[in-house]
Amino acid sequence: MGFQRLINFAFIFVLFGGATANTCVQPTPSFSHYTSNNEKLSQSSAVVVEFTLKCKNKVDDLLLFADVEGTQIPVTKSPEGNNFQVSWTSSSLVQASKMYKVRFFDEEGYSNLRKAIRSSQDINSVKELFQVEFKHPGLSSKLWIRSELLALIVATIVFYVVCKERSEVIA
Amino acid sequence: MSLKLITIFLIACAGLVHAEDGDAKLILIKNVLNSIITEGNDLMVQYTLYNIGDGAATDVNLADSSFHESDFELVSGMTSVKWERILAGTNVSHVVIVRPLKSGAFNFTSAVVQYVASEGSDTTFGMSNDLGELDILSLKEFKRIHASHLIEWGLFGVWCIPSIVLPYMLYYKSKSKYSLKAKKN
Repeated sequence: MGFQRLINFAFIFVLFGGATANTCVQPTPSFSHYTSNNEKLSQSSAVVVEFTLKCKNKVDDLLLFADVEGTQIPVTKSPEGNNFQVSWTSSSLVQASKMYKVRFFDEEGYSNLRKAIRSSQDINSVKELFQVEFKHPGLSSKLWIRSELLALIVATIVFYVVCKERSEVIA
Repeated sequence: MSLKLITIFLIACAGLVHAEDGDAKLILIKNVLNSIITEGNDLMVQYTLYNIGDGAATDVNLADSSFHESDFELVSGMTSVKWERILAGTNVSHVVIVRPLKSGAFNFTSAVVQYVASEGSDTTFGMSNDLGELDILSLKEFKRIHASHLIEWGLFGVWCIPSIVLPYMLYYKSKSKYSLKAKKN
């Protein structure tokens, strides 16, 4: 009888312990992104992803990690803990437009990811909490020829035509 | 013999525990990624935190209040953020994008970081490097250097036309007259 009670108590304890685990159930992110890629201003480019997260359960102090193209970055929070931000920079500009896929992991997922990396497994096999995708526009299409070069070309053509006519007259 | 082994084991354990409880020490570097800072164009500021201590820093808060709303517009990123933990020997970085609203020289001051160096200790404060006075170019100045000047060249071409076309018309008239005469001959 006492033993049965103990089992019940242990079962309830495990149940509670599981319920207060620090993970987000059914996460729905609402995110915005920013990409900076202006070659006149800088030779580096920066990407910032900001988001807020809605979870089905109430989570305190959610710890998130992001995986971007094989690099893991910890996610920062606002002091109140509602807004999250991931940002990274690259030392060279992004030339062509591309799609960024950022996968977010909670603590457990992140430790699984680290294990997969250590044992050289495919990191795509680790299940993420959620992911966001967005397009990086790359360098904006610009005029191929600078206006000064175009002016120089036009002037050269005019000069050539005039010289030709002049030589015909002189000859 | 067994007592000796136990003693050695306990000392080793104590040593192990002590090594993991080192103090964290964070260095904050504030860096501007732009080579040119212009009024009305985005300015990228990067903060990097390096933990050069032996232990993990917990409850890390970074705040930069030098970008007042009167002088800068926040485009993307948060100026106050926190990390739960920064492990020893690792670094993290954070990017904030602002847009200067005024031109002229601006004094970029330090950002502040506060963290708990080891369990149970008080909050440690640190400051980043300050970038000093940097020049923010006005939009007019920036366009003068970097915009494509197609309109200016177009207008230049238009003003050149009278001094090129008029003599050419005169020449063409006399040429056609001369050619007719040669043909007649």
